[in-house]
Amino acid sequence: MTEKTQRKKFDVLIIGGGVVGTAVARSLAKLKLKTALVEKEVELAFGTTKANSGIVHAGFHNEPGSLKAILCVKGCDMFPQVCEELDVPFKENGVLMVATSDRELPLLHKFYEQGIQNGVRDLELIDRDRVFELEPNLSRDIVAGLFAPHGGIVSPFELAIYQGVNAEKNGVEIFLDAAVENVVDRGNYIEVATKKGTFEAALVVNCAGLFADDIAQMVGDTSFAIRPRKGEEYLLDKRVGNLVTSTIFPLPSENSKGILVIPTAHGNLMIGPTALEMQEREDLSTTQEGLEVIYQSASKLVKGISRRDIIASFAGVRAASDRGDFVIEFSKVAPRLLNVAGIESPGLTAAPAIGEMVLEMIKDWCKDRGIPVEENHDFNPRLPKRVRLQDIDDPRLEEMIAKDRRYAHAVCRCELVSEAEIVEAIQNGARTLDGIKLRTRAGMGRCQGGFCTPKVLQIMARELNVPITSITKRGGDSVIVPYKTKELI
Amino acid sequence: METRTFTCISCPIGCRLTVEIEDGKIKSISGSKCQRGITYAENEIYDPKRTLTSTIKIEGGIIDQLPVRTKDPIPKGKMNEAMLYLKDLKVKAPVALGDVIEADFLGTGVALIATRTVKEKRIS
Amino acid sequence: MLKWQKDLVIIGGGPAGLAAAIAARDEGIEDLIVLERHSELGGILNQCIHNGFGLHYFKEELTGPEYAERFIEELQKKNVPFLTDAMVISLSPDKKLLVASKEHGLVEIEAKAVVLAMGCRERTRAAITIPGTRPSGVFTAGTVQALINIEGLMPGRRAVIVGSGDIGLIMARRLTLEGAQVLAVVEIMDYPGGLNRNIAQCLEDFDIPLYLSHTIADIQGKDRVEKVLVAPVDENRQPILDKAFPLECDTLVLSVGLIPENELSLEAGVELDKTTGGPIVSEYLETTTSGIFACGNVLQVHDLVDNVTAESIRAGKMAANYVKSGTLPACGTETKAGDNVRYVVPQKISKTEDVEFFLRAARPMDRPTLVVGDSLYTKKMREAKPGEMISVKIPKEKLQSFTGSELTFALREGI
Repeated sequence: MTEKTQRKKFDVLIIGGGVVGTAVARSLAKLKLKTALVEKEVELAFGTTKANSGIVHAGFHNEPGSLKAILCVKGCDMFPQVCEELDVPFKENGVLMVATSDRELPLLHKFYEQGIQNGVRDLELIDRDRVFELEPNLSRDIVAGLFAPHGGIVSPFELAIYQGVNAEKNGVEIFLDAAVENVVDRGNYIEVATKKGTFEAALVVNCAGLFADDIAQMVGDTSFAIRPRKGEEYLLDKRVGNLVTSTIFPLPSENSKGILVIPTAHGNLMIGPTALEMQEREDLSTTQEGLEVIYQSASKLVKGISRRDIIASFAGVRAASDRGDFVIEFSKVAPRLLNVAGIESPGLTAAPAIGEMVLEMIKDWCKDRGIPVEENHDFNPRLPKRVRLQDIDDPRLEEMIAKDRRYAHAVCRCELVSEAEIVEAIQNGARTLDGIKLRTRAGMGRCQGGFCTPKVLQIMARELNVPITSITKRGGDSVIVPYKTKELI
Repeated sequence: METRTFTCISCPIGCRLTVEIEDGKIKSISGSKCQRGITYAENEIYDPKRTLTSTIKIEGGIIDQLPVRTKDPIPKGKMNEAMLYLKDLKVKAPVALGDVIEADFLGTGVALIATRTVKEKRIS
Repeated sequence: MLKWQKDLVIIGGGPAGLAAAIAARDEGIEDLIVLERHSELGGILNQCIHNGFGLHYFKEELTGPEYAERFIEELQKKNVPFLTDAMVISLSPDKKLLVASKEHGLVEIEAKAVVLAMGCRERTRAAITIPGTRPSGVFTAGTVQALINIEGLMPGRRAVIVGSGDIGLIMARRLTLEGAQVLAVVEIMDYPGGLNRNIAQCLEDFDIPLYLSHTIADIQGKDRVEKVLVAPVDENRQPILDKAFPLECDTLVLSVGLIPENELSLEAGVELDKTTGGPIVSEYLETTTSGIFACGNVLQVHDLVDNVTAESIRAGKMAANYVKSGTLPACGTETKAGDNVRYVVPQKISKTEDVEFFLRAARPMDRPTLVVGDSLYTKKMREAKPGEMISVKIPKEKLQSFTGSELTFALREGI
């Protein structure tokens, strides 16, 4: 990724390298525009995206006519193709909302009606027998369900990362570790001062997630505020990954979709999230209370969930806005600033559709001003297919191993990740241990990196030609092993 | 008379030893299941000793940390001095298990030995 | 894809796999192979550079690498084939293995018998669900050991250790000698998990405090660990937060237990014991899948490598017998953990031979009596500790006189 210090001029500057910013970047790469993306963290997807549950929502949760409803349904339809193009793990496993008592039935019906209005395909209300036919391990209390077969699960960080990699391959410049310090509307352009130098752009797209309101306020736009809402989640061993096939939802509460049981795109099971409104935007701590609530609630939905199977816990903060719906509009105060904010759930699902919507808005913006915009006919939506040791039935694996034995050298034993995949992740921009983990899953399994961390550090030091003592977990001061032996004596 | 109790470290059983001392001399030792406990207790009172295990740098080998140990226990009070000494100690591969790195380690009369074989790294 | 046929495949080249392979070779099995996922044989012993190994088996005190090297040498002397950088990806109940080998690529092996010797892994932060942030600087003790002893890297300068298992204690000393400060070892139980000798030589020698009945209630720090909250626990082992105190540190080392690594075993239809986490085995160390044997830490977490060796030699011999005869005697009598006993291995016996049983106490006990089958066999003991495995050999005559279907092992207070 490029890093320069002098003033950089672009047609469009995207602020934020999460799943929304990278989706916008990929969409804009379809135009012959000079586009850049700045991200405050040292890698893409390190903010809210990193802790996303990975659910591709079908679209029955949101009020008809809302941006959330429209973009969710549209985004859901786009997922199979986008994930195929970017070679990102995605499964159309279906979404199943269940009622645990007759009292909940009217609400379940309401969601059905809502889903039909929103245009959710093949949505059906199902009786108890059909629920257990689909999901034999659900709690016997369940009385009926609402089933959306086209809902899915995706690896959220891989989606964001490879949207970014694909955008970059199609000409978008990406600047990491480039936190925005100030935004000034200069009338005929916007100036954005960052840790990595100052940018000038005709248009700025604000995809800054939790900090989107801070960015807007820099140009005096106070039309929305971010209301951070923390969620804790627990990842369970693959051994119990088959307890359910679909993503299981209870009936929602006022501020969240409730505690869910979510199969992941990689075959684990995840339970959570909690929903706690808070001031602090970067508090990613987990709590004993959170665990209890999640465990109790998940156990009410699915039989056979045990604390013994927990292999990781984490927390994320949703970038919800005070408006309730997504905010996707040009700023009334600074007309060259396009806010894409308040992208909470179903934000991941909506992301590809948001990218396309922003693309259209920018085309219109140019047209209105008589600025000619050409399509980028060289745009290649695809990334080369990656070969993974864990996909043991993939016929290409043998071919790759024949060419490069490192594909058969297992580095991460729990998730079966080869040395070649670690090297490829580095070539695809991984600079931190978490970056390797999010791209390859090395360290994400049941031993949580206990065995592979030393090996991965070795490979990183060798490939990046840096001292092993400088490698971080996720940038900043998060060095993994700061000293050599005997150095402290 | 002074009574001291401590755990024997000679084997995994870890006997709890009680030693009665008068005028700096051992009067009695109890709690030991075997002779090694008696020897350990005597050492512990008159001249406590420990086996030091550590690593030193090795160059040109398939690995770059060579595990080493003192062949026999050395005075406990010398541990810090020993670690300081190991800080700058460096050997070249190949090294075989049991190779003597220092014949008289820190003047203790005890040898410092390699505890594994390290072959030379083949340059490919 | 390469396809091999072998009489015996041994999965794992650590102390268990090495001993099993040598024993099988001694029994005349020539068509065998040891598969090791790491680039060297020796397993976890290579990073255990401290002394204390081999007192039973070699009658002298060795370090881990020395202990391993004696077996590696013997293996090579006897020309037992082995393959390093070779990871077994799958194992079927009919003993077909798929192996990813750095040298050969993908290899499919059809085996007549298999010895599981994959060892164990460490319990992680998530397994004990410590609340707080997720900074760098939280390691398991074994990872710290690998970093320091193999890679020559120091994880930090101010460490707190959670759990008083032997690896944690050994690392407390190692970190201290390397110039780091170990502020405390925190143990949730009211007794230490490791051996007394390690409390003495690893903690007391260096004045490192051991907090029994305490736990870590919170981890703080954004990028790197900055502080942990140490809290005493109540009788339900829940932290008493208003009595918690902070320790400023940059490293948290977890030594909170080991889990036999049996994911492959499960694929092969091997039934696991809920308590040991290892396969249910007969006195021949055969799992519930015919021709698949288990030994070492994949079977039960041992505290002494010498016991691993003894167990694995037996597994190697039994696997060799299986290869030669195609079957082993039926084991119809089950063993059961009774009062104050956590588990018993083996779980099934034939009553046709003397059997050595291994068990663990559920709690520390002073002068207990081991009672097997109502009064089939009794043995007075000096003490019993959960951290120290108890072994007892019962002659076949005694076993034959037992007529029930479940042979119970219990520890009773001062009879």
